Amino acid sequence: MIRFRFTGPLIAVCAGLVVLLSLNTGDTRLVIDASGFGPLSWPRVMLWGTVIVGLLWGVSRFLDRSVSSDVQVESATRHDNSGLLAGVVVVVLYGVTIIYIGFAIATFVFLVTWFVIGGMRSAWKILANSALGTGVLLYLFLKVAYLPLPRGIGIMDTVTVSIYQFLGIY
Amino acid sequence: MVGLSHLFGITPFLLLVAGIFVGVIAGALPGISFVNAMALALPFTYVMNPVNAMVFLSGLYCGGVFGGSISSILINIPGSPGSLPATWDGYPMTQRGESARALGIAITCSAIGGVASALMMIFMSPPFARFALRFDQPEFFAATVLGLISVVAIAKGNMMSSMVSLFLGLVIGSIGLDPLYAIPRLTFGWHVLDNGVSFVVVLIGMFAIGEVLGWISSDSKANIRPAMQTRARLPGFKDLYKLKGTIARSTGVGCVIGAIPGAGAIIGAIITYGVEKQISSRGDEFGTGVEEGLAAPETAKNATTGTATIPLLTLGIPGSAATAIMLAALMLHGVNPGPMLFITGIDLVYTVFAAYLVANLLMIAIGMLVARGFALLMKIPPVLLFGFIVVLCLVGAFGVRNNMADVYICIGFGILGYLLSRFNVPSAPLILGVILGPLAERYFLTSMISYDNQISVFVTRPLSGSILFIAFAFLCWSLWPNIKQLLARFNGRT
Repeated sequence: MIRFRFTGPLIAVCAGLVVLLSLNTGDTRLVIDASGFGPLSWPRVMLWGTVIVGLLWGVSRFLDRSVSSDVQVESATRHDNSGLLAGVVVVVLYGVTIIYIGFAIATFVFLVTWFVIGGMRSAWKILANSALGTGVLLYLFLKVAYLPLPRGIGIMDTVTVSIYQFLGIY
Repeated sequence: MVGLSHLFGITPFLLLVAGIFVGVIAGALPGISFVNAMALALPFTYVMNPVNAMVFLSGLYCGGVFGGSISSILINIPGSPGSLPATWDGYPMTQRGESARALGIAITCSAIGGVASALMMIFMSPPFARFALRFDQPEFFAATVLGLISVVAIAKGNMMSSMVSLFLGLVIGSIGLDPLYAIPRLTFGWHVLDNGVSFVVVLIGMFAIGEVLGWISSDSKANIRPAMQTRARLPGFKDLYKLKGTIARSTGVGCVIGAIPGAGAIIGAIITYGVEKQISSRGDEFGTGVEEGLAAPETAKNATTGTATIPLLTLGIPGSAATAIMLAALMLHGVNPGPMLFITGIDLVYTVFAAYLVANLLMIAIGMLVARGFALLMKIPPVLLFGFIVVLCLVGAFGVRNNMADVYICIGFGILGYLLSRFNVPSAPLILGVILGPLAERYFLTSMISYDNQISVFVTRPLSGSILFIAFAFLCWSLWPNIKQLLARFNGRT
């Protein structure tokens, strides 16, 4: 678990330096004006701040011989990493697919998948909660809040409109 | 009395109650926010007379500032930025099975802060307005720096990781077009980032999505949520007496910060939390569910409401997004706020005073009702609740600018929030950096333009110099225990 000891400081320093280097783009618009403060001055100071504080963090970790608190927390708590991975993948896929297959279908599919990986076993409960939940949310966001939620691309747009018509919200 | 007699007519009173209800509910729903609710409610005020419109919006404002704390305390997701500190000590109380007590303290302290602020507004408007008028760009910058410095005070034993988190937030806050030249920075060619990263999206992602991922990654998914009490339990007089010092200090700080245009509830709540952590005898326990740690920001948050309205009524200058919407409502009705309003529209002014006073008292009952409904919602199985929270959060993120990019950013910050919490790096400083960073940059650059690029202006102007001195003293005060520890260790070695 000691390998975690310098991970945080190392990430902070490296990320700060990489972004700092990427700021030197040679873009003439980014030159500083007569005042000495250009568009990049503030982010540059903040990035240097990140690097310096990251270094200080690393030094304090080095000087502190005892096992650091974050290592203790990380090692003490048991995590279901496969569950986490499944959760992240499902949430990311949901976010990405909304634009392509439309909010209505993406939400229904997401809820079904989420309930399954969350440990719900009754197929009837999964389908009923997903369908009812999606319907209520659609009504709330489209009919009450008038949010222009994505309807999908191509055929999915037609399918979404049919769902809206079926629910009486289009 | 004139104001109270106007307010207790059937229509104004019902509008006040409706405003508080809408405000508390909107405030409690992450991603909706009471400011959005006020903006949405603005068209409805067309059909009201100016007095009723202001009564409705006053109720919405007072209720909304408190409402965010309900979700902070019950599910560790702040409904609004000002409710962020309520997660630090409110949620640990819920985890201990003391949600009713935590909600009771939050409601009562918010009401006390709000009533005190309303009284300040009634009796102290002229001196507060003069004080607010002395603030220029360097003072706004100094006040923002004071807010940022308070991160050091709230760091719970992990100073360096908190500072890294803060700087990371400041970097994220500087993404997008710069405030003076409108040139994109740190966008890496992604035009969706030109408008910057919305702090609401960051807040939703880090807290809500991060919390959901924390649940799905836990070994014992069914038992992770604490037992929820459905009724808020108001603290007794004895309990309140114990918190008298905290409430008095937080009311004072909150009222003063509220009068500063642009500072608002978030800075007030965070500074008072930091101050209280230093002053309280239980300062070391802050973050573990300490009453003082919850009472301080809750009192200060609502203590900013009345005094924030003073510059609006006396000078016609809105000091926050909420008061800007109130200004819009007044102007839509042909009412121009300013010194003349106290002569030509004195009935309206008195009714607004009365509305603030009564709204903060009614908020106790309405806050308890909404909190009960919210707590009942929490009784549904976690797998269902978290599934719908993901959907609501992504729609909330989309709704900020009707932009799918915000949905992706929200998910990204959710994953980052989970990783930070897993490796014990505090996420609150990052969020503060995202909120206060753009303000600090804007005030800094406009100060430079206004004062011939003389960087010394921040210390040579008496008011900004004083605020920066307070910030420096606060920093030393907060760091003193660490310095003492280092010295003791050094002495031990030699």
